[in-house]
Amino acid sequence: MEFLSQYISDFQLTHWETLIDDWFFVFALAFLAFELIRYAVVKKLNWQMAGDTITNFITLAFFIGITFLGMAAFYVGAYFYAAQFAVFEIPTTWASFLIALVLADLAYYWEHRILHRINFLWATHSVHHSSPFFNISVAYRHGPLDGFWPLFFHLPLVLLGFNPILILIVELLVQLYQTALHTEVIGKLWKPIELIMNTPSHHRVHHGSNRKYLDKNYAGIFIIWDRMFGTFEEEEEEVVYGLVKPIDSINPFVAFFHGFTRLAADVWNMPGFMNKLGVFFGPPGWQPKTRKDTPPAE
Amino acid sequence: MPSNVQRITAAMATAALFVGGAWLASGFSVDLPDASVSTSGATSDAGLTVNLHGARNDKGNLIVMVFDQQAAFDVMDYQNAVGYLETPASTYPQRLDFPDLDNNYYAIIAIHDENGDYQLNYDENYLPTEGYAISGSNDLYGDPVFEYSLVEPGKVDLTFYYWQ
Repeated sequence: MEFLSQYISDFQLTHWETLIDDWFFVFALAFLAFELIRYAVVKKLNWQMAGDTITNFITLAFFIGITFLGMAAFYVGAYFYAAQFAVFEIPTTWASFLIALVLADLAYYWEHRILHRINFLWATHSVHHSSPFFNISVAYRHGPLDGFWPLFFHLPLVLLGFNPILILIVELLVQLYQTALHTEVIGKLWKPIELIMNTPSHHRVHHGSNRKYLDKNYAGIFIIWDRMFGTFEEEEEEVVYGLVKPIDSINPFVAFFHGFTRLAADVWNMPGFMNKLGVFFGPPGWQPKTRKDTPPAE
Repeated sequence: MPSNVQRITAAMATAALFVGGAWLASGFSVDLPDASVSTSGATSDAGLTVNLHGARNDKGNLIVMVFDQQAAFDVMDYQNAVGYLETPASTYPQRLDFPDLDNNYYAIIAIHDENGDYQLNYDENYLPTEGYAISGSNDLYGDPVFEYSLVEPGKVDLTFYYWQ
């Protein structure tokens, strides 16, 4: 266990981050090719799926543009600024790497849960859920502000004393782990794994618009958070992917901005100032208690 | 849908795990020996203490240069460094004390000078062939920046990085 106390260089962390990020994308493209061939073999590949796949990567390009031109410097700057006020003095060791990975996964659970339960946050995250398909390219389908909100959920880890670069790399690892879960190719895994880890089966449930699957399985790496906090659902019935109110479009602009246009329309059409606030800050499908004429969720 | 009791319990459990995890992580540090070398000749908690980690072998020397001027930092001009110490390389963590450096921000460069030529050697692609570490937060793929390297006096942990 001596290795747990061994220090890790910030440069080493940066090197790993670059290496893992680049090679994972290569893996994802190869895996996507395999998935599409498989869909072709079972005669499920169609033009809509092909168009949707291209749209996923176009939204990724939009997302990268917005994130790296507009937010990345602020994000990293906020981390290094906050690091000055750290509560604990935490050395960058293998132990802190492993602990930070688990805590970043927990932070991700809350980030993800809240993105689903507050309408103005759902406006960006709903882009990721708007595909009616489920393959690894869907993991790269991002909304305009998907790169911004994680800051607020992981910043406490920096304030507690974890190295900002370490937190950036564990955030990446959590993201990449669940990127690999976006597939129909893999069925249920060995029971102990399904019990502890997030798996393709659990994540298919998360992408379901079936009523019993709504707002379930927010986990990144460990499904134990959902089991502990009452948001777990087992994959039983066949999953219907996408939104409750589908976008019915493979236009990348529609996919990328639909959350905000829908939110703006919902706020605009809702009578009363307090009710407008309710729509903005409430969960998707929020209605005043006096109105029960519309379905409650997206 | 979780109840409010579940939500509050979950939030409290999360806060406890965050703080407990951070406290646990803070305990995994190395008990450093007395200073291997010190500008005052003895271990001192005053001023700047540089702890070196991660040397991959015990060949050559570990060199630490402390700068308070950008011009000297940019070219690693040890003659214009405000602090300079070296110690025989060791894979065990080494502590180097600069008790007199206590009134400024400092940029620190550490080199694992394996071949003993008192220089950081490079390959044909201008990548260092020996281990190095820089204080603060620098970009691995760019030249070190003086402003990003500045740290306050106190304890500074540096871990060597080797490109090859």
